[in-house]
Amino acid sequence: MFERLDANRDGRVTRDEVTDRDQGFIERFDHDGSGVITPDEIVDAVKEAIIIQAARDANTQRQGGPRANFERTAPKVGEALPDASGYDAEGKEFKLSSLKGNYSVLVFGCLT
Amino acid sequence: METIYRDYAPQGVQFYYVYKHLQHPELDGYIQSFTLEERLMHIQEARRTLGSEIPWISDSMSNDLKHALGNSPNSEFVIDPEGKVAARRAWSQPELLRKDLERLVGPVENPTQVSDLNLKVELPPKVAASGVVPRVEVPGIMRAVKVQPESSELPFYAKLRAEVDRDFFGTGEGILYLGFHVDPIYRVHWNNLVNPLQFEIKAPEGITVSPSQGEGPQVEVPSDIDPREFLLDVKKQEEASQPLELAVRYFACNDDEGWCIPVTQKYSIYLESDRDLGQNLRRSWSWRPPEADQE
Repeated sequence: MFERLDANRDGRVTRDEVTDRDQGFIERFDHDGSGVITPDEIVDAVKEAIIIQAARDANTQRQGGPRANFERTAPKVGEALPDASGYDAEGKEFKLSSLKGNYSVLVFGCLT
Repeated sequence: METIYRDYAPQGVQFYYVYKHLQHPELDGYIQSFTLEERLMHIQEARRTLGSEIPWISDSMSNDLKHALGNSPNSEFVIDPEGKVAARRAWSQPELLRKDLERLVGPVENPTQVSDLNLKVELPPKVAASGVVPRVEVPGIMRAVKVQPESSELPFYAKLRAEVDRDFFGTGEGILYLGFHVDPIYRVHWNNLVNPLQFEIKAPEGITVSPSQGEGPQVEVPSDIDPREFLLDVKKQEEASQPLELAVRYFACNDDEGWCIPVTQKYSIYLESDRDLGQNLRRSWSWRPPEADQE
């Protein structure tokens, strides 16, 4: 990915080398806020991510993280959906109880 | 996910993305919505930038759906025709979802491949310069605290995000981060040809904040969309429960609609953690492994 973004092959990725969509890449790895990504910053970020994930995995085993919390609190297979509601894209109330008659798939997400 | 939708929607399976609060605000410039109307604008933005054809449902502003369905940021459920859970997982895995539907509904001849998709993806628009105002460096792992905007006639074109360092919750002393972020859904930018953003904070009894006011930097380019960020020292006595009161003044400009207006808005800042505000990737991680707390 670094090589793809380093358009001028100078060993650094700067904001003017990336599209608007890839500006998030700069945000994620630019630890010193210089607006320039170097290979070392990516290596550091990967090391950091490995350490953090290992700690989170250990935390999950000890007392539960998001996955363990989900397993405990989300409705289980065979259970009815809880009585909760949101809104459709036009702002009209959407009740979970309306999900009957067909199979339905719900996936949580957001822009970022 | 889009390939599964293409294959199983014609067989009567209903698909919904449930739009919740942002998990990683400020990534790609997007920040937390303050109102349902703004969250619905996020959905329009998601449709436009991701090119998805799957319908969206918005969670309520009190995040009722997320709380009722396990509190995971990217969970996935298959619901049977009787309204009961047929399959669930804490993190969406399309390959496993396809297997669920093959089992429950039946396999598909010639499943759609990603290469078959022709999603119309649009990039978020860039309305002014960015990367011209340096970001602040925070001293530790930061946690978002609850911010309550006061009723305003104008939209919150720039929105406040407040965070404290994690140690504050144990010691009552620490760093308060204030970030005023231009909201890209309004296509606005700062006006650097007039007075910069200014804020004042009033602290209740039992809480001290220093400095109690601040002003954004003078910026050479006439307009930009970079956040205006400040770090303050904060001390809170255990019994103090009232919020900080903040007032901010700034100029917001929209070039498409041809206006530039002064805005004054107010907030209450509660120095208590709020896990429904997501984590900023720059400020919520550090070199130190996170301690044994719930994320």
